[in-house]
Amino acid sequence: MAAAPRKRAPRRSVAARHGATLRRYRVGRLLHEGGMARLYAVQAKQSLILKVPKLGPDHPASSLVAFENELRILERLRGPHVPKLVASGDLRRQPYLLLERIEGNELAQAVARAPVDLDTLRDLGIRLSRAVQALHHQNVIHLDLNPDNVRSRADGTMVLIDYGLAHHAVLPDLHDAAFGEEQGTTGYIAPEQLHHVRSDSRSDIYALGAMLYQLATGHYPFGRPNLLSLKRRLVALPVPPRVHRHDLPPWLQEIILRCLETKPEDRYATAKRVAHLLAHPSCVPDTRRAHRRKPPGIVSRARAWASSIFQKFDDGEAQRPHQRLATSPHVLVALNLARCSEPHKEAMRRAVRRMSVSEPKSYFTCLSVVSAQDMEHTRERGQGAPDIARQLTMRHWAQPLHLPEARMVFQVLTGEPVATLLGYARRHLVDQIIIGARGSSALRQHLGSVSAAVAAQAPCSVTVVRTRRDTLK
Amino acid sequence: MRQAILSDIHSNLEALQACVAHAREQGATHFACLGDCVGYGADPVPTLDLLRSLPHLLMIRGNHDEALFLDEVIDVPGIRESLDWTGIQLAPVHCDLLEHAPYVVTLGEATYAHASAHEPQAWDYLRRPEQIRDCLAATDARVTFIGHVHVPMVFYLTAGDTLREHSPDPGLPVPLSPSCRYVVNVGSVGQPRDGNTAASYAVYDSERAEVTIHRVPYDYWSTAEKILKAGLSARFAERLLEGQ
Repeated sequence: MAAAPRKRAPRRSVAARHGATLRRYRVGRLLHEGGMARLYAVQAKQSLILKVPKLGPDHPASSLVAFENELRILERLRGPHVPKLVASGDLRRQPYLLLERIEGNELAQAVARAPVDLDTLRDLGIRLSRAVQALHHQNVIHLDLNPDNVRSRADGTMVLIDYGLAHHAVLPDLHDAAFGEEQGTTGYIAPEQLHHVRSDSRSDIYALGAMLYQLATGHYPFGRPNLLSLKRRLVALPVPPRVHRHDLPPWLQEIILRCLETKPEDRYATAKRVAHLLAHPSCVPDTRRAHRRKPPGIVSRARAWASSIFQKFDDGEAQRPHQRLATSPHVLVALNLARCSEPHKEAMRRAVRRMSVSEPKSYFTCLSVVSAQDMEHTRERGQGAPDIARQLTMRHWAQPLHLPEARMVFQVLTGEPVATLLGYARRHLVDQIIIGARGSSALRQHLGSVSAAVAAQAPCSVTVVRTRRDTLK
Repeated sequence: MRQAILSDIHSNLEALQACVAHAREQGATHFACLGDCVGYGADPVPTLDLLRSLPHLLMIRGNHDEALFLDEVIDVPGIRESLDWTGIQLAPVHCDLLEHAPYVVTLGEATYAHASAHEPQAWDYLRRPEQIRDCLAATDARVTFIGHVHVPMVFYLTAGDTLREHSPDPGLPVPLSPSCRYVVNVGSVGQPRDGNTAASYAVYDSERAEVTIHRVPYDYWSTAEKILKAGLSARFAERLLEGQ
């Protein structure tokens, strides 16, 4: 016997309108009216926004579900990439959300004037990827990323808003295909979302790719958003961005097309990987499609169509976003090879090899920091540019590891070692730092231990590599 | 009200003690036991004594508790002998507690049953969607707490009448939506069967409308030794070490 739909107590309508008072807040003008909710400005010390779901027989049944979903998720999210939840009303009596209002719409403006220059695109892309990463780190998948749902703070931090369709991996999912509700926004929705898969964080990578595509070309990847463009993403390949913009670098085309792969497993696993590649184009593998300037030919189209027939999108045992991040770590290898003995170099390599084998999706940035002292020292000895020499030394050190270019990049930065290493780790969302302990205790006493300072202040795990000394005494 | 919901203790005193201590730390003021207090384990008397001492205890009848007073054959090797052995240990006060426990109770927004709110005496193992729907149809309560299967799980019926299941993370509260209805299997205190040796129980916070499944490690080696010493089936002890 099927369960009969339950009768619910009639809800009181929310008296939220311009001029009304809610708690101690005065409701301002109506800012926006969407299909499921109304947004009002609220006058308070800080700029706030009041979100009230549309309830009743004239409005979709899913609007309360979307509202409750957003409330549950915002209650659990933290950090600068999410609007602060100031207060909320009782779900049964007076549902509302009082949220921090973030005015900046840098991304939407850039999309409106797209194509944008390469530096702007990279900057926006990296900041947007960082926000998506912050969400996935907290086990939330947005599932409706589009330029209107991305706001920006005065300091440039991107903030993702509107969690009505979002999915929290550790909460029961309230959304129901039975409502026939929207699964996302037409121009940006991932193919698996059309099959009601809501548990794959790589759906957000697809939307990220669609936004990068727009920024790069001023076009949508599958043409104007309509029913046909929805279907097209299941059976066809997107037009390569270089068809619209010939001067686009191949590496950027490769990043965008990889984000827009039909199968989630063919896309980048994490948003931080996208950010890393946008920052380090040399890591992007040079493929044939990266150079393509023509729409896909008949053979490619036929192949894409044929594979779509057998394509299955499984919502079963999906990896949680946080787990996916853990299995694709970005590892920072701090190298100071000039002061490194051969056994110590080998010990560092062993540490990297262990990580590269145990986490096959890991990728590494080898970073050498040139301090002011080192710079002076090199200059005094009349040697050439320290950057190039250090890059070459690092590459030589890494050769026995046989890691492909895509998994290892080499960087030389100038500055105070501890601050530079920590700054890089924070900026590039590094998951683990491998650093050598300074060999000479006299030197360590004089200069202080870089590894100890990094270990104490790092935003992530730190492995300090040391060669055994006790057996040599 | 913060209520600790225990089920399928199966005379495992160490597991029960660990769960009760944990529940008190969580601020539980009320307790419910969804049946199968006895069978398998070697500590029926101290287990029932501890249960009787718990504040605001709601007792529900389980199939092992019922079988104690019947001569029926249970399809698990060694379990009839275990129940007969248990019967010899118990005092009238323990028998009263088990014999008078109801099959199903509804209090406020919650229903409590051992196997299902639908035909509770059939002792069905609720795994299939139609069984969950039958259980939901048998009560008006928003949430029904069950045990019997020995695996913690949250089943829920969405506002659009879709039945889903959610495997809850231990220690993380699952909010109960006003738009959904729930069947929560709280798992087993004394004989967990999901490959995890830790005891399983739930805390239901009726004000916050949240359920949290907790997994509590306990000294299962001592429990296993007691089972062997009492001459009960060695398999009952082995299962504790495997969590299966």
